Amino acid sequence: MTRVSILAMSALLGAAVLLPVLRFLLLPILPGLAPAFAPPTASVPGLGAATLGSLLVATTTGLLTAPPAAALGFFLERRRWFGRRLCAGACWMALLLPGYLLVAGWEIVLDASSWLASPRGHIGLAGDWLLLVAAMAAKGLPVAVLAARIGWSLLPPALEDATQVNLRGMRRRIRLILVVSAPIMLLTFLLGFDQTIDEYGIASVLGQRLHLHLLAAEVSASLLQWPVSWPRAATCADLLVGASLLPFLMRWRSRHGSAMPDFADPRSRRTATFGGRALAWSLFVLLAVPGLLVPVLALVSDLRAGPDWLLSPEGARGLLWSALYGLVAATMAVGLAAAALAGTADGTGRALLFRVLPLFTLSVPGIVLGAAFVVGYSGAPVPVLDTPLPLLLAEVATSLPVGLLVLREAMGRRLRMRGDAARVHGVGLPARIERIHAPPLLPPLARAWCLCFCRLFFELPLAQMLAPAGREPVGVILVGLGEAQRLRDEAVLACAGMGMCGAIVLAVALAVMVARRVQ
Amino acid sequence: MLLLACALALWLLWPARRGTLVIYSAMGPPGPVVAEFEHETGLAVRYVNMNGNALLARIYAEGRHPGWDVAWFVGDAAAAELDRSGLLRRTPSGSGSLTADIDWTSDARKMLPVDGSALPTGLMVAGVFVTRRTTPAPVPDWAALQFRSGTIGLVSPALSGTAFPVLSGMMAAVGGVGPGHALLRSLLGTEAFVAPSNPILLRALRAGTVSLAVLPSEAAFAAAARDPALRVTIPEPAPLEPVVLVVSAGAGQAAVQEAVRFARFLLEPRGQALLRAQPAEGLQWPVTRDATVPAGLPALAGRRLIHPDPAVWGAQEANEIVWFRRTQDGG
Repeated sequence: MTRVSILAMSALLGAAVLLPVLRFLLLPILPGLAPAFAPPTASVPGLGAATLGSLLVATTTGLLTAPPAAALGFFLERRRWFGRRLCAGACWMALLLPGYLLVAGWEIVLDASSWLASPRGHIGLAGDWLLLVAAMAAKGLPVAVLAARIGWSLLPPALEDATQVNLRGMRRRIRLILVVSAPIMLLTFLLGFDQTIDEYGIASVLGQRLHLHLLAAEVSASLLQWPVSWPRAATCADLLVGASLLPFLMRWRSRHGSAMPDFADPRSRRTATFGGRALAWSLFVLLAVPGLLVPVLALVSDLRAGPDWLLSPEGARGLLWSALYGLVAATMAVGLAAAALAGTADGTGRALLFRVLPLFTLSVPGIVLGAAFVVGYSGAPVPVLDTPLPLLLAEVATSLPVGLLVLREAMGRRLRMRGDAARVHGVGLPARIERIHAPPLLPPLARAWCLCFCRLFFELPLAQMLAPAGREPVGVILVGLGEAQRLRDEAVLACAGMGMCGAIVLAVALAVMVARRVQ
Repeated sequence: MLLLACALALWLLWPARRGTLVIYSAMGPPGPVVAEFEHETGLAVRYVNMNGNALLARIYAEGRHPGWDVAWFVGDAAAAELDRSGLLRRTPSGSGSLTADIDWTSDARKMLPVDGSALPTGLMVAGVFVTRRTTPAPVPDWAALQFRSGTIGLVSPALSGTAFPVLSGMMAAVGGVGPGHALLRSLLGTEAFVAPSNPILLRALRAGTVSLAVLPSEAAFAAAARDPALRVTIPEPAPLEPVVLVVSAGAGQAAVQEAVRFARFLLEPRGQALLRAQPAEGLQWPVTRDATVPAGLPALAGRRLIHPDPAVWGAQEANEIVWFRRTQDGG
């Protein structure tokens, strides 16, 4: 594929994603951009409570998660200890566990009837907010840890040695550590804030159950619940984008705003002290138990509650659709990311990739993208809402940054230079790809693909808004089962989905291993 | 190979449209009705089951480019609003021959819209009282709800498709919007429990968190059939609400013919019997004289019945839901 065709395809995809988003975001100030047919307008609930609620929950969650995340990020990036890899793996798995399954797992543990289904007076309004913040913190901690790890990777390791040599007093050293870690804490807080304000699964399931309104849930409520109001959804999206953009702009201004991680060589990590190990393990427990182990074990243990292990036909179809959506979107996202990385050497193209794309991804969450597509692709000139195209396009757009992040290091300059050398020696493109590029790229490509696939398999809210009727993936069915209080069916389907994801990842890993041996 | 797999996946994901009757339904899983209809007519049906609110939102989102031929849901108020937006095909009685030869019950006949935009396939009482048998039986009077001790449970009309008919039925039963607001304000002002869905409200009732739940008759009688500890009381007056079937304005001529065949199949004695065979969704009162009332449902004869005006309550729906949400939030 030539560079021109890659550019043309990227421009087409960019336009297909950006134009509906811009049109949707501008609706409140330019009502003329509205489609010719829109649902009847009526009086709609205000957004003050939702805006305030979102900001409060995101700020509290960010503040709660930043200190433990910064500490655990430090232990993951700078120290060698038994369990480090396990902790990193748990972090990724907790990141991939959707918010609605986290709530479902805890709902089984708490046996919902006495708690989540209790009237507000039972635990009080403050209790409701605390419950919401706790769930958001459990979901946000893995993101914050990864952000902190990136932050620590940007600080030169020599700085730590210098403090040990030059600063004798413990107080002075602690003060310096605090000064040094402040930007990392800020970065961690900001990404934690962003993750919480955009979190849809918990906002829609738990927020709805507790009657606490959050912006992320209000966007979809304005489109999927009564009264339907596209202008309200657009206003809500503007507020959400504004709130998401705030921390990003702050981060942009900070030193570490545009830098990319450069993870330390494992051999350069120091061995953690006994106290350090104890702290690291405690933080690991804090991350893994509420955010991963309890919900997953609750879902698995619920399988033992009855003899019926069979999936409903609807659930089985949901798994199939999820796998197909995941296959197409992950392949396209990883392929595009690889092509983009290969096609942009240095300068403008690369800057565009690593500055503008994260800005877009962080400031336009999935829920806004989904809402924009509902409005943009429902009518002329491209009425394709009843096809899988809008959902696939949105999934590719949201997965592209993941692909870029994972592939960035592997597709570095060295690889390009190898390709250049082969080109100079007259090796054709197919042979270059087969013999030179593919072998070293297979493992990172497979990693990126698996990450995108698992993320998309349980994806919401895009699926809820854009999946063509009758082709709903497993996330939509799981939320429906939760609403219908068919918790056991939900557990069976969730476990089958997790098992299927695990099996596919294993199959990909084995295929890569075999392919490398053959080569 | 990966690209081939992607192409195959895309082909599988693309919904089949040609020669298929697409039904958007809020009436639960397809059950034997759809299978039997396909078997008898040889037509292919894509039956898409979703929540009532999601169904209406999707119909509005698809607007003038509908992906559906037939929609089947609870409440003629929502149908009246869809009709007002020009999204439904009208088949006036007599000329369209859809309803001319059908032997409607007197209650069903009153619910036939003049323009033929909706067809009732079953009748429900929009709101009934469900209590545990261990607690005192409720007074079958809407106004008495505010004096009952214990928590009253309602379902949020913003979240559940069957909750607005409950709300409009309740308000119509006490005399309209003003008295309805007063009653709801007194209920929501005390310790009312507003659930996002019928099953969650039933769960709260079984757990003892709620002492009385106001639910649509279909969900209430289905729950009582499964759990004998629950008691269903039909209030006076009982607001009747039809389950309606509507045809898309964008449906082609062939699709309209198929939609008509489906509607007629549902209204025939065999279709009605198959409908009744569905565990929960079948617990509706029949709309034709030749169908029998399902076991477990009391007779409606002799009761004071009302039918909230669909044109009035359809136009009011959005405003009332927003009012409910504001009042619930303490606004």
